[in-house]
Amino acid sequence: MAAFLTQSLCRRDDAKLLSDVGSEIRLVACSVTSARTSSLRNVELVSNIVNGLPPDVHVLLLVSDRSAFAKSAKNRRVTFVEMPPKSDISIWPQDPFVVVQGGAVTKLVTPCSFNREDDERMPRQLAGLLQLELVHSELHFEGGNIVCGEDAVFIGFDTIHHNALLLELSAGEVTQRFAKLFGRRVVVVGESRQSVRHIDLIVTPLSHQRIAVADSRAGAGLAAEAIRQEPALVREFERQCEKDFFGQDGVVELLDRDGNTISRPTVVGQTDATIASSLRLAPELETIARQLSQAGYKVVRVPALIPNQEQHLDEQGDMLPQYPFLSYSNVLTELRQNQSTVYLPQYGFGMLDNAAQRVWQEMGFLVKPLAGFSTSAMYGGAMRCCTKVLLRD
Amino acid sequence: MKTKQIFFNAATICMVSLAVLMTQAMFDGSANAGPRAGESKGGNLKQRVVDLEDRQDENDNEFFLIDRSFGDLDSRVNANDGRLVVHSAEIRALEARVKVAEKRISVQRADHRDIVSKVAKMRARPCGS
Repeated sequence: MAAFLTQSLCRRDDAKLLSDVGSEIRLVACSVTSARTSSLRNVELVSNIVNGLPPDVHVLLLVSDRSAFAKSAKNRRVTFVEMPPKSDISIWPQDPFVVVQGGAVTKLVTPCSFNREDDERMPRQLAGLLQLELVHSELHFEGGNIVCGEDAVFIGFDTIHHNALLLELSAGEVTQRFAKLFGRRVVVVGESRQSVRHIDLIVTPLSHQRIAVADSRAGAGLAAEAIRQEPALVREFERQCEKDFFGQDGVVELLDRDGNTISRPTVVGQTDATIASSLRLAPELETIARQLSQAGYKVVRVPALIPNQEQHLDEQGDMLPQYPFLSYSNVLTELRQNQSTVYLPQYGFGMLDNAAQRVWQEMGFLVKPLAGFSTSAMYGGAMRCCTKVLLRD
Repeated sequence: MKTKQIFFNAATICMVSLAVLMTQAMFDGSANAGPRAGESKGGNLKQRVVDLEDRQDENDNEFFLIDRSFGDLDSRVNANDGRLVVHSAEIRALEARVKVAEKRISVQRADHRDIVSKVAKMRARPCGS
């Protein structure tokens, strides 16, 4: 009786951040935007994600403009979740909340504030549909700067630093608060201000104390090799990025809802500059790899080609579109039928796409490549940014 | 007798407290959630997914999502073109105003030169003449 009581009373404390490592994915959320409301349309990408995930994964599609969309036919595993009228949402459901589970209880935890479009409404809509408890935290965070392993949660340096400033706490105190909120030990990633805004673009926790860290030096090397060996294919990739940006080759400029002009970024001829940016960023990633290695993790490096992260921010500090961020760390992983599986974004840059597949295969993963991420990558996001895991079996 | 009653009361209080604790423990997490009867908020997400799937009886293997508003890109481009036309007209009007202003400036410069030369002539004129 005493044991039952203790266990039951302590259940609240058992709640833990849903891990990025582990059993089969059962439920995810994506968001889809229409051509008439958004410059970043993603219907094709969402179709690729739904079809690329196993058939028993249910997909909740957050949508602010339902009448714009038609789906092929009734499909059991896709449910539209309509946002309140006139909501303006991004394609990144990863950021405005995190999922905490304790036993059979699932809660959505939102940050103290979240100021990107109307994305803070996403967790409310999901919690309403799924009848989940919504917990409003005092802490400031974005889901993309938090990744979770088997034994610890990894949080980017900027999130800790930002909270310390706003809440007038020491970094240690902020870390403790996150540890309490997420029910897990916290590892702070990085030792200084982040160049890459979200660590899920560069850090992937794996099973058995392993962790993958992006290697932009390797990515730069591969891109340089591609320019030497197959320059026409590189140029074709660059052209395709520009062509796909607005979905029509002839469209180079559009107005957003507020009447601001959005211009198609120049990608053609920019691979060389991106190689240089990647090389400049490499020491920071090497520091992170060393730091995690010293913390007891076996670090594996995954190639990445990373464009300039400093000169492409708008007034709100959000990324402006530019040469795509080719991240092969921004993935979903799961253990499915005893086989580690990775859902790996592909961008159409053959040399890098193929090399990333090989690296993940060498780590023992069954690779499920998902095409069509070049446009979302021009805004700096890929598979994990687009797909929020809500439940694993 | 009194001792027996005290013991009985203490035992009753213990039992009631235990019942309260057990009730709290069993309904942990649903205190302020206000779920419908029989549903504990936050619990059994797996069952809710099954319920969602049961509502949709057909199941296609392939999923296609079509953006019917894609044609609206044209209207947004047209809006851009329209803005361009408006801006061009504004620029033309501005250019005309600039020309008028330039003309006015040149007239004023001429007047200024005229006044300067008149002042110079008046200064050059001998006093008392």
